[in-house]
Amino acid sequence: MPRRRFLPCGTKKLAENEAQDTIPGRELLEALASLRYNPVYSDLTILCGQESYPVHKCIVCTRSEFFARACNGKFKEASTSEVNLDEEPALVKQMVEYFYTLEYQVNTQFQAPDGHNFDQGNITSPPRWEGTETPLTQAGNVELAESNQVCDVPEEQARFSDPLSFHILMYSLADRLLIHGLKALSKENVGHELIQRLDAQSFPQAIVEIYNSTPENDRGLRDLAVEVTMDHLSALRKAKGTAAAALQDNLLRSVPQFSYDLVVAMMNKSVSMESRWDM
Amino acid sequence: MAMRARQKIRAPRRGLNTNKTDDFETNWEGLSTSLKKIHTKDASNLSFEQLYRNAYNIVLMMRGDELYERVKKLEQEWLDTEVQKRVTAAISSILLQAKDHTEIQDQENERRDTGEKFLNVLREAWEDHQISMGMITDVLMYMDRVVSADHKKPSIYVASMALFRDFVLRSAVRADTESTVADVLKSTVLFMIQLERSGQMINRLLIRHCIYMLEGLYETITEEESSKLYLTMFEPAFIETSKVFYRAEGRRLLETGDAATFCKAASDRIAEEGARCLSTLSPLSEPKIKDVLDKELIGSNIAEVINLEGTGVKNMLDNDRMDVLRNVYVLSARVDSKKTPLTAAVQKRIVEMGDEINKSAVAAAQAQPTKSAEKTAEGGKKPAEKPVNQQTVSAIKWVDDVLGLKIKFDKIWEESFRSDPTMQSAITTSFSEFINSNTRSSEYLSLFFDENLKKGIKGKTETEVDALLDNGITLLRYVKDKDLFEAYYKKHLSRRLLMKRSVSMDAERQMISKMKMEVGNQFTQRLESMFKDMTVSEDLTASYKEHIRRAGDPDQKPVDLEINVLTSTMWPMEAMSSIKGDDVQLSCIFPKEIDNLRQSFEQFYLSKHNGRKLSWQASMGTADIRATFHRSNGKVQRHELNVSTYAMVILLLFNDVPQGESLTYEEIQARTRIPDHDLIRNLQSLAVAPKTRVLKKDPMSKDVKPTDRFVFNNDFQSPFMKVRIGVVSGSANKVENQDQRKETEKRMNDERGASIEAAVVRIMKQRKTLVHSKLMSEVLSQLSARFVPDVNMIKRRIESLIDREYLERVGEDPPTYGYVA
Repeated sequence: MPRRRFLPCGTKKLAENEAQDTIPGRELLEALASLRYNPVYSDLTILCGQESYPVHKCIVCTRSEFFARACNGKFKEASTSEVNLDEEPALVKQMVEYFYTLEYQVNTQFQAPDGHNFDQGNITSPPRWEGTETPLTQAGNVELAESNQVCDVPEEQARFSDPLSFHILMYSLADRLLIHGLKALSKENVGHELIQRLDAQSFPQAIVEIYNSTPENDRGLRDLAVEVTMDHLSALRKAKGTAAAALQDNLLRSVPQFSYDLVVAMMNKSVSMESRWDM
Repeated sequence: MAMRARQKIRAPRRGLNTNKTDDFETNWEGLSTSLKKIHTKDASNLSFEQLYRNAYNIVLMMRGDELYERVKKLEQEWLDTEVQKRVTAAISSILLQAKDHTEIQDQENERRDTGEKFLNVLREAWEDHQISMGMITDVLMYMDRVVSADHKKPSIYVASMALFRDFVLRSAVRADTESTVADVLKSTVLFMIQLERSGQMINRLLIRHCIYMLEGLYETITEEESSKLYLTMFEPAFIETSKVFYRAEGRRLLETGDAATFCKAASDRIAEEGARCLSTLSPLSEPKIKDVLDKELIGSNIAEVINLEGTGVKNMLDNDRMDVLRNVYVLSARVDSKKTPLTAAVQKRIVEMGDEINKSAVAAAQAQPTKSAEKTAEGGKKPAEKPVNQQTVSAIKWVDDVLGLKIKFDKIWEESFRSDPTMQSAITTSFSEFINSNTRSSEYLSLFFDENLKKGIKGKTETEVDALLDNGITLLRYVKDKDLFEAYYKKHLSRRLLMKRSVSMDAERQMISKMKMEVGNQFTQRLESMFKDMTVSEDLTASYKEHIRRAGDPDQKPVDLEINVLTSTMWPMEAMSSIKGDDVQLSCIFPKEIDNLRQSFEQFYLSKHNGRKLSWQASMGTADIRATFHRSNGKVQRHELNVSTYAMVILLLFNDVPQGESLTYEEIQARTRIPDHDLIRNLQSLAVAPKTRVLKKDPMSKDVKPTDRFVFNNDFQSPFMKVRIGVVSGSANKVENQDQRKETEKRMNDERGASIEAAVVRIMKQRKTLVHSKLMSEVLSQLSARFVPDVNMIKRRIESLIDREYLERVGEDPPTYGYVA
């Protein structure tokens, strides 16, 4: 496994940091980053699919209640020092990335055949999701109710190479494994991405994913989705030339909880507007 | 068809909503079997990740509440069947028997063994439950966050603990009995404690673990501190049985009749119960069990213990049993901040011991009259002085005894009563009580100082002197009638000063400054001016000598004069002159030489201080005279005689009497006008005292009668060149006799009357009008530093002031006075 010394999140940023050697805490951050994928001192292994990641309890358990309980309990994980995550390998890899660097990237080249091509991730590269658009338009798995887990490989790849999808699923993972920092970071990323993707293809998909990937009481992404919808309501409802409107009625029908949230938000807004006029 | 295609919504991979029910059951299936495995300690092969994901999936399906309820149900079934059975099976029938305390020994052992077995099983069940629930809580962590997020439901852990309480602890032991497991637990633990209190060893740790369980369980699901099962279920019974036990224990210990044993046992019990709360039960009970001890064991018995005949506080005080007294004090302090029974016992003993000291002083005083009767018959100087001295000695012994008592109680106070201020004031009150019950305490104390300043401090170091004086001052603090002490001190001081009997003037001054600190400036003012008169007089003597030398009158035989001019208001004139009543005193007639000297000095003095009046106190002076004795064999013997001024006057008369001729008592009196009392005493010392018989008396007898005749004794013999002829009972400070005492008291009363009047006028002048009771209390408080005024005396003085129109009555109800300007 190649050893990486530096934060991979943009070479430009890295150059700046090197220029300022005196940034407080940098020494510690670099030391932590150097431990990533490094079996030295490793006391826990995260297994996922074909991959295994040697990690450090002091880094992982202190940030995630899930790992803490897994390692300190009396279950198998505690005695074997291995945690097998039944998750999407791309997400797990980036989660580990986050633990050590406070950053993660959207994997554009997904699961390269050799399985070790980790250096390709770079957010500055042009988004590939356009290139994978074709499978999405294929008929068959269109209706929400009809779709199921059995997804074909191209679609899987598509989903995880779509940054918006990736961020949403990262959020879901962070929520499940109780990694608060990652949750906040992915939420921020979802926010940035969603605003730029108010089209008929991405927007409904994002809403469905948001409402399916987190439990009802977790308001993080749901509130964000409603807020974006409210702020860009007219843009979302308007068809642009040949393109269909992003927010169509059938979305409300298929995601009732979104409809509910939206109605509440609208009522609140309208009421507050009225009372403002009254004054 | 691109447009249509774009409308298609693709479902995400995770969190699929299809076949929800099936999925739930699948997930639950996996979970429930695993949870059971956790309870049967078969969890080592379970994957935390998998269980966690199962639970998470269910929550994601929005069926978290259902999961919660299912887990609860599973736990309840587990506890109700498996655990409950295991625990009740460990309860043998002996543990269920009524808790009568008259069990025989072997039953006791059996009960202890089965009890421990039961406690062990219960403890294990509880600890297993805790561990299992800890693991289950970890697995259900995500569910807990969602389900109990709105706080409508307790966490699954809390809920399962409540289940343990209800389905294990509160379950009936047998179908045919109402006793619950908790009841058996309670009675078993109480039984163990009872065993330990009777001196047996028990398994403390085991009990402590069972108590942890009760501390970790609550009556309510909100888990308020006050709803701990320990507090609601166990502690009241524990406190109740402890009350019963210590009530009996108190009686049992009292029956031993030994106060020291009681206190030791009680202290041990206190320590033991404190330790029990920490090691066996709960620290929560510590203050409560201490209350029980304080109330049942100590509070209701301590008074009796203190007053136990033969071994109580009286005995401890008498034998200085510091450690036992400390125990008594500590116990008393626990139950009563005033320590009433202890202070009462201590005070009683102090007063008793003080009264004994007083009595022995009185006994010595009463012994005097019989001896003084002999004195007159024998007519010698020695026997005359002896009883007087004895009485003075007894006065000083009184002070020493009181000081001894004080030191004893100071030590007890410090070592045993932990310098408790309440105890101190009680001790002070009692000392003050018995000291003031001796009407002569002021006089005795002053004599003590007198004695020490004259002789006692000889050869002592400065610190020793300091300590000695301090001790005396301590007693002065207790004396209420400070004015009386002042009068005596003045009298004694004046003698010391005038007759130069003080060992050290430094010590005298030190004494004054100590009194000043203790009693105040006003008190020592007059004493200090006495010292001032003395120094002024020294200068005066010197400058008079100088004056005479310069005037240079060679004709006259020079008579050295050493004079003390005393300010009459500052010195106790009445104490120095022997004048009784209001008789008009005619001054003594001095011989011509002396009278010349007197006139010469008066001239000198009045030229310096115009308008002053000198009155000569012949009774206080001394004179050195040279006497020539013509022996019958023709030889001449000279002696220097040191005599009192009166004796000098008498002896000089004989210069003009021809050899062999005599003077009668009446003649002497007529020529000198020396008062009878002084004349008799001086003649006694000149003609009766065996070693200083400068005059011969006819007839030879002890008493001096007006008809006696006196002749100069040319045959006077003395081995010494210088002969000191003291005046019988005139020069030494000693205890007053009854008459003198009456005199002093009368003077004291007059003085007090004046002080009271002064205080009343001072107060009224400031207040203009004042209610009677208010006036009384102000007068009392103003004067209390000096003496305790008699209320009737104040009333009389107020009447008198009204008669003399200083005050007037301005109101009757309440009686009010006004100041007349």
